[in-house]
Amino acid sequence: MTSTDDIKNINDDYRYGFAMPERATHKVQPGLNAEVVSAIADIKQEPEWMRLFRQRSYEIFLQKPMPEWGANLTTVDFDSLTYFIRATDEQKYSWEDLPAEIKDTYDRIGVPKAERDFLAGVSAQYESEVVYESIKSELESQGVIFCDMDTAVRRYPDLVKKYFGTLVPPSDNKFAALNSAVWSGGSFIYIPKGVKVELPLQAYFRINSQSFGQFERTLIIADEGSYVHYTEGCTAPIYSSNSLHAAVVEIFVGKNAHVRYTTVQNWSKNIFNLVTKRAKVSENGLMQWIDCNLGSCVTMKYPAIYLIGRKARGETYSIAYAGKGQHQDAGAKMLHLAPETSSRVISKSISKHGGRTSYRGLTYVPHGSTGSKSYVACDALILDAESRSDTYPVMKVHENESVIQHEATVERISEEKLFYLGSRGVNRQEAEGLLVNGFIDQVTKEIPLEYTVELYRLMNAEMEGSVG
Amino acid sequence: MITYLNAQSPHNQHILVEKPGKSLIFAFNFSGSIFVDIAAENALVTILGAYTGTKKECYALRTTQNHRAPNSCSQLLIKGVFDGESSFSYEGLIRIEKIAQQTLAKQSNLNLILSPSASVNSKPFLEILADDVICSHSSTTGHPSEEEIEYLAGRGISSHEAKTLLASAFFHDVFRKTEFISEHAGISACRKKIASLWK
Repeated sequence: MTSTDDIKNINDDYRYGFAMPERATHKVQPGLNAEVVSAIADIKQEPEWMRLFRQRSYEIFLQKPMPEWGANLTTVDFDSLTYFIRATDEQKYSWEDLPAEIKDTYDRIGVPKAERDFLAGVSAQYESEVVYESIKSELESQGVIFCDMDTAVRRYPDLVKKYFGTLVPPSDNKFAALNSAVWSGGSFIYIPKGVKVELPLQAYFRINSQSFGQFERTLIIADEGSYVHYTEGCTAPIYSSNSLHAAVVEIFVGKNAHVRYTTVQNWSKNIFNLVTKRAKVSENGLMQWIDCNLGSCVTMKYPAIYLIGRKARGETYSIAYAGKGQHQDAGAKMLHLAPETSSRVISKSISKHGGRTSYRGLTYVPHGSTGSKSYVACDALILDAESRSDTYPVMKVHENESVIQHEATVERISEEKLFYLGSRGVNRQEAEGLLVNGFIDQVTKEIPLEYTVELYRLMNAEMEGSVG
Repeated sequence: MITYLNAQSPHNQHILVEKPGKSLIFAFNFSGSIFVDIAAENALVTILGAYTGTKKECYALRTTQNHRAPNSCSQLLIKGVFDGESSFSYEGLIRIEKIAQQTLAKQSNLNLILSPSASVNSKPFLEILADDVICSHSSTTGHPSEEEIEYLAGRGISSHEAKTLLASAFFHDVFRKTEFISEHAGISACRKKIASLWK
């Protein structure tokens, strides 16, 4: 079997695998060099500080070594990728105005319908830039800003300058440096003091081209006492060549504020997904990452929460599914940098058909963070003899007035439960599906209902015929 | 088979289990690496550790439970109490190779910190390549519970005495797990030393 057939075979059930003809009004040459970096700044007509930021980041990128721990990244070829494609000349505010193939793409993913039904704002990124954007007018009048990052650099330079790159500096890791050099698109959200956005704000990321790199940059600032729920979904067509998605997400949670960030990552299995996500939480604030990783060939993503204010809280709920040819290396980092902070991590992973899931996490309690509490639970299911599961947690505790707990289990679906369900007339395949859904239930109940239904559907499609 | 390790033992311990049956590895304030290579079926390996840190003492322990034969069982329990400016670094790995189906492997590292300047780093790792296994690990680091201290205070025991009582009781289950072997001089001495440590 050729490698292309192989990939087709893996992706049989992936319903977002269609591709539209490539369209580009601006496209840089494949490969990465200083010219490409400044060409992106030219096309975007960026201010000098951002141009310098990109150049500096590119230099850091060249100096940083590839990470040698975690997943195998030896097949990432920086020179074969295209770093910037602009699909439309300007951003649209109505679906009807979009070029037919882009509109059709989002119709097939179901975005316009979702927007009508249950969202407060939508941003849709196609290749490098956001092509569609909308926000409910009442939110705008309350001072809520929801726009793409490029617009934010032009329109709110002071706000952006103050926060951009401060939580995830370019020197953080090789892929953060790469993102900082060639970033494009992503969301910028500002929620003023005391404003609570009841319905979720949503971003959809779509890669359409072959051998393309998407590098969006998201910045969320939630001022004192505010609330926002941001969700993102990711899909891409199936090609035999690999693409790269390396995003940076920075979130600032103010005093008493609450931010919830939900990701349903369903990239096709030719995408490397290497993402740096970090949140900083002030006094009595709450940050929640809800992270579902189903797609991509390799994911390396460890959403971090820096608890810097007294009584700040952090929670991460994650689900990872690894099928044939997939390695999901995900986890959570909790840094208790103030007294009476608390954190909770619930991670569920499932591996099947030779897939590999890894949990990698950090809990850090320095001296002085008295009364801090942390609880981490990772459960893994291995569904066949070819698959693999790893757990790599690190706990650094330098404060005696704290309680740090970690537990993990790895097992397969128990014959006892299957037998019990079998004796009640549930066939083996359904029983397995039921038990897997039960296994991830603790996390799925944190996800908005519309997504839960979609997630169960996706999981069941992935699980089909897994009994053996 | 009993292997007893203490602070004077050589740092690199490679223990090959090639026969079925029970074996015990007991480490008391041992620093270094214990690699247990389980190559036999029907082996039951118990790895126990007791660590007591006072003053500026510093311990580092690395353990590997390497399962490369099916139908075996390994259990690890490392407990430590740290006072003064002492510190403890623990890194443990359970590795289950594809061939080692029907393995049961457990790993626990439980620590108590008594003073503000003591610290613990714990890295309990799992690498599981077989599916028909039960494998778990847990790690906790904390301080003696206020509730327990209060309970003892209600019975006329001072807070300092209560802490020492709880610290020595903390090791109880480590020693209980050694009961399947006949008395071992090293382990008995360790038990006595721990009991006298906070008097």
